[in-house]
Amino acid sequence: MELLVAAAIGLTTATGLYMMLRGSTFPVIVGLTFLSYAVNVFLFAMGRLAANRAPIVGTVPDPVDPLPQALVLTAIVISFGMTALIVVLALRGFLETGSDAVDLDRGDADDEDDDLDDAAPDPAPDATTASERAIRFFRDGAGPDEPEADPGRGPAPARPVPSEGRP
Amino acid sequence: MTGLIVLPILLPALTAPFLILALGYDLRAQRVASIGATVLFLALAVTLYALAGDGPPRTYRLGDWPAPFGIVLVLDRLAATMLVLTGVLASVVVVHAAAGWDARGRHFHPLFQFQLMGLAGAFLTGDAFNLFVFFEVMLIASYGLMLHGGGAERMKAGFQYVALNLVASTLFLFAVGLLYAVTGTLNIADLAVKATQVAAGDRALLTVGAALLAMVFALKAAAVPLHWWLPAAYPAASAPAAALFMIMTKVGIYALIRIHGLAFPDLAAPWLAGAGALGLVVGAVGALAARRLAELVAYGVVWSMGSLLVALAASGAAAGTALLYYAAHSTLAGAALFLLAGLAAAARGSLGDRLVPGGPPLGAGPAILFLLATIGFTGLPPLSGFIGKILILQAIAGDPHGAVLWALLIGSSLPVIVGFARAGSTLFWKTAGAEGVEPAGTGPAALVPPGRSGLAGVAILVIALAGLTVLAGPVAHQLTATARQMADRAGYVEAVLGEPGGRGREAAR
Repeated sequence: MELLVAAAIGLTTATGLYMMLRGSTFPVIVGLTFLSYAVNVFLFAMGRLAANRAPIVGTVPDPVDPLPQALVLTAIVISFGMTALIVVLALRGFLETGSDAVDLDRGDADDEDDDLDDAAPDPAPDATTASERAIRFFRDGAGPDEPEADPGRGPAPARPVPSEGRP
Repeated sequence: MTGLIVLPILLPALTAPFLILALGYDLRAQRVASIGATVLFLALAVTLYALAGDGPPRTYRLGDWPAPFGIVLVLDRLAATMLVLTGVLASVVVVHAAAGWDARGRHFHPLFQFQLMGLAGAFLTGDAFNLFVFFEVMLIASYGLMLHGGGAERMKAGFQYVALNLVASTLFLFAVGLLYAVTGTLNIADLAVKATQVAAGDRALLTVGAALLAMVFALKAAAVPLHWWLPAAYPAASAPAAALFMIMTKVGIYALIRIHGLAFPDLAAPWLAGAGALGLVVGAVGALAARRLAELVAYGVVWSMGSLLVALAASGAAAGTALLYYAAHSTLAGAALFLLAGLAAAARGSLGDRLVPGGPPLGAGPAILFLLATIGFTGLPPLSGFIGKILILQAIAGDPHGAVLWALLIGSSLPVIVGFARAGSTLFWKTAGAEGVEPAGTGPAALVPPGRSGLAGVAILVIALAGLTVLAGPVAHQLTATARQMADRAGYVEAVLGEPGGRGREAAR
């Protein structure tokens, strides 16, 4: 059982890390979710692995540690809330810039004198391909699992559009 | 009297929902209530400082559970010092924000109060997992504050900031899990006892857990090479939020002192000295390369965190005094500069705070405040940065690598001064009215110099710097007592585990 749990945690962590290193927001979020799953199982295992034993002192001769369950519950709540926040953040960032790249593109925004604060509403030529990719991610990748992602994208046409019309 | 210890957490925790539920649509009432609560927080912090000054650390057992089993709040001089610093900074920032920043988005004040709650909790808790929870409270509020005002650039920078901190939180959980699995405790004082008794076979696991934890705190403290998020995140945040975030980097330092200083004293120090030396170099180079005032200040923060880490890695009461003095100084000076960057950006219209000539004249008030804050921040005499630098230099004089660190500490100041001098001359002298400078395109907000209400907050912070300078003797005296208590690891463990009625110590054995 130890090997199984350890391998599961390791594999999930590795998957999470790999996804985290991608360049667009959706894989990063999925990677974060994997990572938080891994740490939840890890926290659960930190009180030692035991089967068929109650976490209550006095009822069984050798009770298991009840604390990790309390800790993992806290960790789940926090990581769940954070995932919801970062999904909204990624969606807002995508809608406002027309790109779901994680990079800041600071070189373009700062060096030119003419595109000041309003560089965003006017997507660069390559931003359309980025937004195309992003639509694919939000549509196909997350379709059935992320119900709130679809209404947000709902009114958008299937082809990439500049983001001027969006609030 | 020990009941007072929980109040700095409870006060903002109750104020924030009150602001949302009772005053949700009345910004004016929210401002009054939020400023009142923050000033009360400061008063409470000062009271607690007086309380902590007279003896060993005091504890407050939540739910009255005995020490290693329940969660304890521990008030010692270090925690009280950080609380007072938080209170001073927060009071200035909330007044500054009430002059108009808080109207640019919703729920600034509730988020601000939640941030205070997280900060106070992180400073007071004596439990490693509870520290994680308060870190999260602090970070969740900081995500909201960071995004306050909206905008595409802020969203992008905010995503990076949130994602990075989520990874750090996950690492924190891995580390806490490892420590618990090896030692069977989460109480920091108990951890310090158990860490010495760990079986030889588990020692490697314990070290991995402690190292992971040090990495998380180093990331929060913007230690090079874990600093890269800061120059992206802080300039993108609104000015009051960035000013308040100055205390968040100090939370990383505080947690390193609290957990690693207590339980793993020899583990992190050599790494921290290296990270500090690198931070001095990277911050100085970044200050030369910065293209915006806020970015310049952010690299200045990386640079000042380098000095702090060098002081943190050194041992002895003198180093502790230098660390705390410089931490207080750099928090206030950095906050003043971030607020000024926000004011300059508002007055320069579409130019923002980018370091290009040709903006509207900003007037004498901001220029003088910028000069003073910069003198303080870069460590020029006569303001407190100079005294802080001298304290650090004295503290590391006996260090085997002292010569290298001295050279870096002194040498890296020059590029930072050059960076700030260049920024000041660009912003305040090369204005549209000056000879030979073309007026640059400015938006509708141009030609409105920063108002008095905006400058007042900066002025108070600069006056606080002057106060730190004039009262350097008494302040250093107080901080020396704090540093002595910080080094007294047995005293802390005794106070937490061996208190009257603390049956935990015997039971835990």
